[in-house]
Amino acid sequence: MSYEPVLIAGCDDPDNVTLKGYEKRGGYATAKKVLKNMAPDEVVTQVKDSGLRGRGGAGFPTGLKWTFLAKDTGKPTYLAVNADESEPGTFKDRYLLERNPHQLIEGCLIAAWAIQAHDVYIYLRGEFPYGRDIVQAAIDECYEKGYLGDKVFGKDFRCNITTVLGAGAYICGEETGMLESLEGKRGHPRNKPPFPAVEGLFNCPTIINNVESLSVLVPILERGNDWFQSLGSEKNWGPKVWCVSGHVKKPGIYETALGLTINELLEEHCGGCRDGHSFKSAVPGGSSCGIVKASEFDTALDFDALREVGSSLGTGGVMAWDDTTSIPEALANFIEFYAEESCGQCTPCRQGTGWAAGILHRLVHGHYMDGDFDELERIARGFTGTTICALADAAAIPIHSYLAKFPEEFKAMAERAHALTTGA
Amino acid sequence: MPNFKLNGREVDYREGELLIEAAARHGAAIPHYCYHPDLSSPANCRACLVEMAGAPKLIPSCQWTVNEKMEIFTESEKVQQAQRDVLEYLLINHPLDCPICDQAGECKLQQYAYLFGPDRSSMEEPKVELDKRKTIGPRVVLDQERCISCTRCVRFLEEVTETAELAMSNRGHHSCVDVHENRSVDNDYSGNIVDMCPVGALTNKSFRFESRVWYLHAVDTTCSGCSRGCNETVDWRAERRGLPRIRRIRARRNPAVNKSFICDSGRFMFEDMDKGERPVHARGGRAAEHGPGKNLVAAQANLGQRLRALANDKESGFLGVLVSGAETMEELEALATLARALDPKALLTCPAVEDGDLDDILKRKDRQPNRNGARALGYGDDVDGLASRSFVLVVDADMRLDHGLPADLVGKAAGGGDWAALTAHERSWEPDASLFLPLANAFEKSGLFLNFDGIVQRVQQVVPAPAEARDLVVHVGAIAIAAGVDEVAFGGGASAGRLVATDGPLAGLDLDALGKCGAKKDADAWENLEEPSPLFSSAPRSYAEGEYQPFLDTSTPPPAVHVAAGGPSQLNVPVSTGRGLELPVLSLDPPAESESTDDAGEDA
Repeated sequence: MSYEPVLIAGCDDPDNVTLKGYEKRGGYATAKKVLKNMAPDEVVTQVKDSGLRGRGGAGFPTGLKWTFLAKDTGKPTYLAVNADESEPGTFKDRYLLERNPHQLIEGCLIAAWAIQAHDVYIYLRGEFPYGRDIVQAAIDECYEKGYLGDKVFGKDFRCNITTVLGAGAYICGEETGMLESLEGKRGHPRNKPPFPAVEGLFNCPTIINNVESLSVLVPILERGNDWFQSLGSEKNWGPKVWCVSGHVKKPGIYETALGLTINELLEEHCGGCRDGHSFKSAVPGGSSCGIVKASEFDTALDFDALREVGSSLGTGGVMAWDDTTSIPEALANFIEFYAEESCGQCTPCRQGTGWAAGILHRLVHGHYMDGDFDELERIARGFTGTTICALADAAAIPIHSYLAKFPEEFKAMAERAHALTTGA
Repeated sequence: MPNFKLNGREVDYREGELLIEAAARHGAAIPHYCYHPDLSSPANCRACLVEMAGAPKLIPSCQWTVNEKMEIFTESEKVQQAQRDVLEYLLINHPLDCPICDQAGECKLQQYAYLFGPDRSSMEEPKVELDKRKTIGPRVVLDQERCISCTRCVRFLEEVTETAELAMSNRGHHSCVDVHENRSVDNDYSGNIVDMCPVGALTNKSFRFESRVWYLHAVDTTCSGCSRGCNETVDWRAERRGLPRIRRIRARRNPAVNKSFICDSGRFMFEDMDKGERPVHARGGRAAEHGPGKNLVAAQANLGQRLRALANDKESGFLGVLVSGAETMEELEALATLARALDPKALLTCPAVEDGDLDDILKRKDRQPNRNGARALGYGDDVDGLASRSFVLVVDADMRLDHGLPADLVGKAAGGGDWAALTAHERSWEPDASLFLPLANAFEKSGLFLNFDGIVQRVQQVVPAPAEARDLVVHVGAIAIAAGVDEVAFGGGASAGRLVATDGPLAGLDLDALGKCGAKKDADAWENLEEPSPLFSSAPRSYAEGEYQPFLDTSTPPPAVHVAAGGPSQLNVPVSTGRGLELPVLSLDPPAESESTDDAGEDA
């Protein structure tokens, strides 16, 4: 089936980052149409009916999230765009920010109209100053053209977009950590409830959406839900941007409909495994997902099918690993990342991730002690579900998954380490 | 009151009450570090997690307010597992230097580790190393390794003093409390962060390495530093030589007066007792008449006789009394009664001296603790009138060197004639008096203070008064005898009795029932102020008192680990390489002999 990209469509055109270039391919027509013809409630209903699930990692239905917004609070409503893309193995939002900023802005306008937010904040990861400049330039153009500001498209609707650059912390991608950072504080996630839709940015109702989720609003509103639901499978509809890295011949950004198998993505789109090697495993959606063995590569890449093999779609950051990859070393690398990025607020996460990282570090450096693997699982169980945010849970997932799916690799590592220490 | 379900029981709750507070009222002790009753709840220590029926995850009880639908379990297996995990996590990077830690014995980490935690950890990795000794202010030293990142100190400085000198720095297990660059925790409330710190991370410079806490004895009293009358706990320790000494003061929680805080001026006031040359011997008596060692008696008798002579010779209106306002209700009442018995027109004065620093937190402009009480007893503020009196008694029980009655004021009042001085500390004017009697200060006597808000609170004697220093009531009694004023009684609580009599200033107050947080007159009756849960007290009683109870429900003793005769290797839990072991479940029953042998055998 041939698929026509809707998110990365103009990305190869350098002019696409300019308003002129974007409008040349029909940009802002949808937003204009929506603001002119549709009531905010109608937009919410359509997005809800489309079944769009958030592209930031958790896969929560976007339209449903909008309906949770506290009403008649007498406070302003905010839209916060989560462009703090820090999940290891994920670089799709960066691509969209740097090459298709206007589609994001158009998506923001549609969402802002739907939830009647007059202020939109785009929170960009600290390492994205280049992307910020591009998005800011695009925003400036929109202000000049009257697409943003006090009268959007000449209509009596004010919408301002502000970009904010983070300071380089993974935890600021957690939505409430991001809100704290936006407010100028340390990125410490907040206790929930209250959820951001009730009390978010500056204690006002706030909707937080991912860059890709907002960008995809444009084709949804342009082409309708029938088109959207013609892509992918039940409950897992729509286009999806994949960012593939690892041992494939052609790593990079791909856009397809949801629901193709891992094999299709890696073999047909990415040219398969590099020569002389074969795939061992893949992580389908960033480091916080369970691992998928090569024998399970016929699993569809969608929210539900992956869950059945102990993984999840996550962000769509697919990391493919061939037979040269040491799974324990990969795990050690990831857990060290979580230990480093734990904000340090909650005891289990602060201490537990560091402890697990310490054990793994010792392991991969050839020092094994009896019971290390049980210990790892026990530590991971201890910090699952007992913390304010999901960072600790995200760290526990790979520990359990890697140990369960590749026990023989861990055992081999332990034996090697044992031989090393005893000289046997 | 509405009800919710707690551990299978229907119990009441107050509207908006936090789960941890409601549970505490009903005897369910929930461990907590970051929660503090007078600060916001970040719910970051995760020690207070409890199970709520229907909730997928455990919920932090310091964050959730109670509602009627709640069904809460604080002791379920899931909760206990989470508590063990949190305690284990907290301990893995904790230096465990309890033998040299000042907090040992009153450390929340120790207490909870015993009550809720595992008794060992299988952590084999090196501990995180941080700064062990960082001076963060003139009064406070920080040990970052002991810190458990509860952020109480950070929140106190943000929310109460609003000075925000401290912040969390770094991330993950390297995160620690630190002082901002070029800042110092030098506000006048810095000592509170030491009180609040549940572990030994923040220590008081003056108390650091001074004493093990189990040698201290705690006395609950009221601060005499200003008219607020903050509640405090004073810790004293017996000395090898000489009198017992006060070692430190901690804030005692009283939600209506001082919450959980006291200012540093009050906290370190006891240090003033040792500054300067405190006069502790009476002067001005005819010692020769009374013989050696009868100095005090001689001075008291002389004063009494002189007053009697004046009363006989002069028209009434000869006597003036000037007090500082640092005296207790009983003292002021006894003095007023004596003065009026000798001279019905005696002029009683407690001048309004407002020389303190006022702030929005605790400190009052009036530095004297009982001026309100003096007013209630009929002491006015006419200083000029005293100058025309032929004899003036100047009384100043303020223990601080630079406070109390100002010299110019005393000069004005006593300028007219003869005068006697009774003070608790060195004063520039006190050597000029014709007669001197040393007074006990607020740590050396018991009595009542009436604070600016009309709350009557008890002062408790902590240490004995030195040498000839006495409670003013004692002096007044001796003077009265010498002066032949024997129609009124001054001993045995007589003045306290007159205070609460129907025509007294504290009429209707039941002294025996007076609570630790004081009482306030509500319409016609004195109502005791509500005493906070001891579970959330910032000043736990010392072990030496044998009073410390981490649980409200004292009928259930805390679980204990039984150590068999063979020493640690015979514990009722397996002792192995320390790896992958079953976490011990603490039990009250001694282990069966065979089991413990088996376990030890397997592991050997």
